[in-house]
Amino acid sequence: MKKSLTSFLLVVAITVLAGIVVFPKGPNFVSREIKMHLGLDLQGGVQIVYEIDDSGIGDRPIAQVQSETIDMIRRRVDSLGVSEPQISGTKIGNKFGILVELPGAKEVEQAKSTIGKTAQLKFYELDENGNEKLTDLTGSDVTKAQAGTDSNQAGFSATSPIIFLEFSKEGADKFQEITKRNIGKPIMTKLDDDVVNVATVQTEISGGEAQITGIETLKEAKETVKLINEGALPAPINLVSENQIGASLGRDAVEKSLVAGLIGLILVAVFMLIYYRGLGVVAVVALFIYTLIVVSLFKLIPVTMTLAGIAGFIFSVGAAVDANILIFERFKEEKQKNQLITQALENGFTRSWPSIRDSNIASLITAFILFYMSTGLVKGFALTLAIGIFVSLFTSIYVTRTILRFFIKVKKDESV
Amino acid sequence: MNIIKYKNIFIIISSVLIIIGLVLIFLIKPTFGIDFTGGTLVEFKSGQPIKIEEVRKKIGELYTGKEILIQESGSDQFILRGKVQTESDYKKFEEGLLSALPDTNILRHESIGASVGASLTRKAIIGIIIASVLIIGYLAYAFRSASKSVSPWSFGTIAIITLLHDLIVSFAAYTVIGLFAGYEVESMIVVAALTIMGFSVHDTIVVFDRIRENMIKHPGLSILENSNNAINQTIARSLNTSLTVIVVLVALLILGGGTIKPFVLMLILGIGIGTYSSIFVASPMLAWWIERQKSNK
Repeated sequence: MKKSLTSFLLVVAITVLAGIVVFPKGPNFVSREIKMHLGLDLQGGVQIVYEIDDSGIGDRPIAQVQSETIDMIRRRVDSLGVSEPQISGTKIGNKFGILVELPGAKEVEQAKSTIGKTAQLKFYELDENGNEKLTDLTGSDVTKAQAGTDSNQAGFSATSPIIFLEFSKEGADKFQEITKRNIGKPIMTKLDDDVVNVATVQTEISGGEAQITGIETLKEAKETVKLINEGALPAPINLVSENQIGASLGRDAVEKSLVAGLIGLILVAVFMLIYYRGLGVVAVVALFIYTLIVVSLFKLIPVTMTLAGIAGFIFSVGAAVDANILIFERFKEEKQKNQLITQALENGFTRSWPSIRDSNIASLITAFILFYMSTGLVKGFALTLAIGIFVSLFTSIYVTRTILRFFIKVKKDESV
Repeated sequence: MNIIKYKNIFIIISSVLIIIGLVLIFLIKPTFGIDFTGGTLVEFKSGQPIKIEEVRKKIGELYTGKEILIQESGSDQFILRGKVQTESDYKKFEEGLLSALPDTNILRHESIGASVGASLTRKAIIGIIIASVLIIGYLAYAFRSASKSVSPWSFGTIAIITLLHDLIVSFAAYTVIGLFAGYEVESMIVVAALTIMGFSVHDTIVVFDRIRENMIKHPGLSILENSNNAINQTIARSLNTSLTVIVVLVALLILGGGTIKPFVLMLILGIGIGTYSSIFVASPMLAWWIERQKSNK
């Protein structure tokens, strides 16, 4: 009696804890509401896949270029102020790529133009015929860029935007060398393939400071400065796929599907109650506890919920219901052998265990392989499936058994 | 109910189903979504009531991509699919759409390079193959002492053959229904196939476990009797479990959001067929296989 009471109290405690996580609007024990992370297909947003152009990376390992690019893009996205961006590496066929997910991003166009810029600042010498010759001075020699306006600049209006560049020691030497040999000749500055400015060198410049003029607006100057300060992407990237989902469509899908799922679960509960009577009550309670634990795990880990994730969840609900049905069918079978009800119960559990174990291990094998082998949709499916199966093993074996043992013992004690 | 007695009939029915399924898939050539082939998809909702013919007429002039397809996806809500366009083309299209159909709300927009979808499918297929091999291995281990006369490898192998049967037949059924309902094969269908795979193996294992138990408890009975008893002992469980899952899915199909309907349909088909096969295909095939092995000895 004592042991079954302890187990019973443990089940109650777990249920209460999970309930607090799932329904944060109740007594507020946690300081902030724990939110369910919704995927782009459910909450709306934009997903962009870029392919890394590896033609110019030389000997550098592509995986390193990829991780540097991810860091760089993350910095750029952070500066846009998009909440909860997801930036990760991916592979497109055998090419390396980057997956950018911006939930609920309204300024998609701006995000795209900011992320996609390689932002390589280059300086060119120009000869009499206008031929460009690339110098060894680049954006990586710049330690600081600043935007401002310069009213003293001859030939420009009072609000003419300007970019001040500060070079590193090495960059300053390079710049001095370039200006020295180009006095009276033009130098061209390019950001990626866009010409920012062409200026004629007046004198040799030492001290490592330069100015770029000729920018149209202050806003443009500020954006350029931000890109220069954040640094260039190690390799150019090309947009290969884009998926934008309006928030209303996602919300519609979630709301309708949630209601539908709920109605479905109620029907399942009704079926279990009619078919298994008293045992059905236990199953419904166990399934309720199961759902609480799974949803609280999804929130705590956190798991990003997508349609594929919901599929994995439905599967695991199926597995949880199945485990209960297996146990009950076995229990009924054992009862017919005229055993004591407690004996029939224990036999029902021990004899249905191999089936539950083997079938769930097979599902877990599939989930683990898919999780490690794949990306995106399938990975989300595998993750919710694996979590769901672990929890369903726990609830069907431990929770169902504890509740049944507890009540069957109580019933027996009463009848004695 | 003596199912094993008619095992040859069930095996023939399933073989025929597989052949018809493959022929149908080959003949109909299911339409693959843009997440496999690459292309553009735009879903939009008009603020004013409008007929699809009118939308087709107005949009046809705007759209620069070839092979466009416009379908209704809700009231005054439409999905347009076409070949890949350049970004500037899409921008022009969006502007044109907004001026031709004022009050239009663009719900989603996808442009996908063909290589992305191909990579998803390839990874999923490699995953399925590795998982299948491991499942065969695990079942061989779990059933290692089931019977001296039966090779433990036969359980896993037959579970996987049953799984293939379920996938082929349900995909063929989806293709036929999709032809009428206008459903494409999108990447979520790959996820549905994985789910079906899980259910199929799950169901088959429950029956096989009971066969193993019967073989250990009643070594005197023939494999045919033990298999048939196992089917009858687990049939209530098989039907009840599938019924509960299908109830949830049917609720989702009827009431759920439009985007998940093709996916839910595929799941219903797969789980329905998986339930049938765990009763009428897996064990008959196991019995047939074992009998054949014995007669060869």
